[in-house]
Amino acid sequence: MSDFETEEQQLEELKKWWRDNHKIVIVGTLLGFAAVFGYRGWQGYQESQRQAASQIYSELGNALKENRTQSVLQIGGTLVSKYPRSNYAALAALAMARVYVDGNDLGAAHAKLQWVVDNCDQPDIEITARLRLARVLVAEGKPNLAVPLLTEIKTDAFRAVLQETLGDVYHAMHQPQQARQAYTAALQALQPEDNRTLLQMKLDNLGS
Amino acid sequence: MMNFFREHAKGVITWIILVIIVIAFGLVGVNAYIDGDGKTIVATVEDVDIQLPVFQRAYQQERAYRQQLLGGRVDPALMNEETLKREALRRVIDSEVVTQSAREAGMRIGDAQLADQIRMIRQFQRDGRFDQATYSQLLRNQGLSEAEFEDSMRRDLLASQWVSGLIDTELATPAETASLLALRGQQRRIGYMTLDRAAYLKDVSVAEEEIGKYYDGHREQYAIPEKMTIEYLELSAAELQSAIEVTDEALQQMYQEHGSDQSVPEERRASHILIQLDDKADAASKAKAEGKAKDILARARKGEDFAALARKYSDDPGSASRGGDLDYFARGVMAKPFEEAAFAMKKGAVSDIVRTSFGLHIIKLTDVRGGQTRPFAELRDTLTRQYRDQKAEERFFELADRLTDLTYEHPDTLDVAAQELGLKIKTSDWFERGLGTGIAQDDRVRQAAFAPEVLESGHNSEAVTLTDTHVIVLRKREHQPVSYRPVEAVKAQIIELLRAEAAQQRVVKEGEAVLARLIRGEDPVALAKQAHGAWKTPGMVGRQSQGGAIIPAEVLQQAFRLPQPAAGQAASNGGVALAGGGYALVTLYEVKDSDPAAASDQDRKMAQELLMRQRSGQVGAALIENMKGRLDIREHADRI
Repeated sequence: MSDFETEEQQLEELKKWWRDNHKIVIVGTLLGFAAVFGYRGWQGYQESQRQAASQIYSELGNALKENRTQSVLQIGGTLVSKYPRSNYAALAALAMARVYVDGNDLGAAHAKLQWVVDNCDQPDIEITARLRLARVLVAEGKPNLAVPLLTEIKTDAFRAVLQETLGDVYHAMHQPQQARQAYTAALQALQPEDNRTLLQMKLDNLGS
Repeated sequence: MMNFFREHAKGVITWIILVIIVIAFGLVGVNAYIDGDGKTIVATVEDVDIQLPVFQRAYQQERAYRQQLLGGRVDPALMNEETLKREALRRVIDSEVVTQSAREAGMRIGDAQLADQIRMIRQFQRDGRFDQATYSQLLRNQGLSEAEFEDSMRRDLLASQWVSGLIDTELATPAETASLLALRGQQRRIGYMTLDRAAYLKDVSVAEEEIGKYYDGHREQYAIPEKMTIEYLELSAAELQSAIEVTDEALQQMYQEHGSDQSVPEERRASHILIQLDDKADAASKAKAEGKAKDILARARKGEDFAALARKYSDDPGSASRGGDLDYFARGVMAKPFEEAAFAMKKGAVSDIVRTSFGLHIIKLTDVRGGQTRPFAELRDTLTRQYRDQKAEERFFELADRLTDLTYEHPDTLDVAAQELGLKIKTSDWFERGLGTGIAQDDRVRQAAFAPEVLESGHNSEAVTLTDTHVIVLRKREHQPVSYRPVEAVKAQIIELLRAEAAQQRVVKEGEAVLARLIRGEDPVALAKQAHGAWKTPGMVGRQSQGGAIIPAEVLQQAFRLPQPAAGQAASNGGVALAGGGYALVTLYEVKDSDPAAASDQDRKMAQELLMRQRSGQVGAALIENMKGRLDIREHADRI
């Protein structure tokens, strides 16, 4: 703007600018507000969804503790269908798998654990499900399917359990050499406070 | 400091300096050590600081827990302070890690859920129902605000929901249970013989130079640890008490000043009739409730039996059945307006309508107790005790300062301080760095005694604080450095040891030769006879069972480690050195798994539970490791 303009001229220019642009300014502002409130609303909605899922899940936890298997399956089913993307659904599926295994329904347990492995990206839950699925596969007589499931677990924290499970898998596949190797690795990875008796027994049974 | 700046902060240079200082503080961070409240931070998990008091609580718990494990005995190895602290720090960090990863995973505990859990805690209940007053009172006693307690409760619930969701769902497949049962109950048919080391002892001799060599190589085994005695001055408030003179005047003065502290807090007993009225109630229901309350109040004032009215109309189910009685309560228990009314009334009176968040109350005051001041005569003993405590403590701090000064100013003697303060110089018995009796039982005392200033320079120690009102200052009296038992004194012991070693080498060599012949297929009975032993065939043995005869543990272990005889092979053989000396040869003929189908239901269940328990323990630890790996954790072990 030039220094020679009078105040009147400046006002006139401002008014003109407003005439030309007022629509976009108003729409922009409204959109901005909508985005902020929409985001907040979405967050609030998510929060309330989580709390609702948590409430239901805690009932499942009680049912599991009290060994009411039918309730576990029923509440778990609700969680999985109503909140499929929540990690509460994944935990519910773990609980259901446990109940199925207790009832010797390995197929159903397999399906639940597979669902978690396929749908859950929370690493703790996912690895837990993998380890359990591998063991259910051994029980189902399909140990060869368990190997790729386990070798995909890369984190070092699970080394001891992972190697022991792998040992069981190889043992079921009648590959004593690999089983021995895995059990030995598991023994080395055990923490001092862990009990070694069972693992040592399995290793010894393979002969030295 | 800020004033200084305000007055001088005119020049540009001053401003620049100020800016640099501010930035430097921001960068280096006074915050790194101390947060806004001046609290020490012992660890940080992501952006959450764990403060010293939290750690200290965990430490106390850890200590109490271990003490309980040991049945009250204090085992220095298990109660090692360093270990305890590390363990406690690990626990508080783990708990924060679990909570944070729970939130990260989208776990939440809503307000309603939190309230449900709190209502279920027995300590907060009265007559089987949650009671707000009891809740507030108990928390106040613990020095916690409701917000603080609820926050920590929410965190606990969150963590336990998350962990138990991962861990308590652990499973054990039927196949795993069966194979555990089969393996654990497995039986093996074996034969074995042992070669005795003693038989080879007569053939070995030990050369003189070997004794010397062994002694030089294992000197530490023959060390007599360094030890010392100390002399020390001890100062404690407890010992000063008897010397405090108590005068009547002083007690009277104390009574004047603090007499009211000794009074029993006033408690009042009231009955009430509650007409429930929600804060958010609409005008109509409000009017209705008020009408009802006014009606009841009028009837109570006219002399109708208050208890009967309460039974009939009160909306407080806990007290209604007792005629509205709330029992005695002190200030700070009831809702504020209720309390104000109850403490302003005369005994027997009925209040106006009082509004609290519960609704409308009509209160009748039924009794008042406590609140009086107790007479001097009654309090005399208490006051005397308090006076002594207080004066002894004051005297203690005074003398402790003098003690520190005098022993520091005269570092080569305790006499000056002893004389000036009227203290006796005491002496200790001999003690070692890690072990002592009497005053040296305390590891802080031993530490101070073996510190270089005391042990090497021969100076007085700094004041060693044993408790808040108990200190000592010590100095070296006698010191005996590490010494070694002379070789002559341990010669016989060494000879015996070396002979046993040599004999063991021979027996192992011989045993391995016999094993080779056994593997070639020679008759074990004949081999045993040649080696002056006997071939034993206990038949089928279990892992623990000893088949009637006593089988050495190493033999059993070896028996269960031997590979199963391959098809067409009669047996597999192995040898093992015995821990107590000697050698054993073991032959395995046959392996028989236990039949899992024959196990009792109870055995099966126990096996399954054992598997799940071990698994979930291991997986649980691994999960926490895994969570830790994803978080930024900084420990400050030096600050604990």
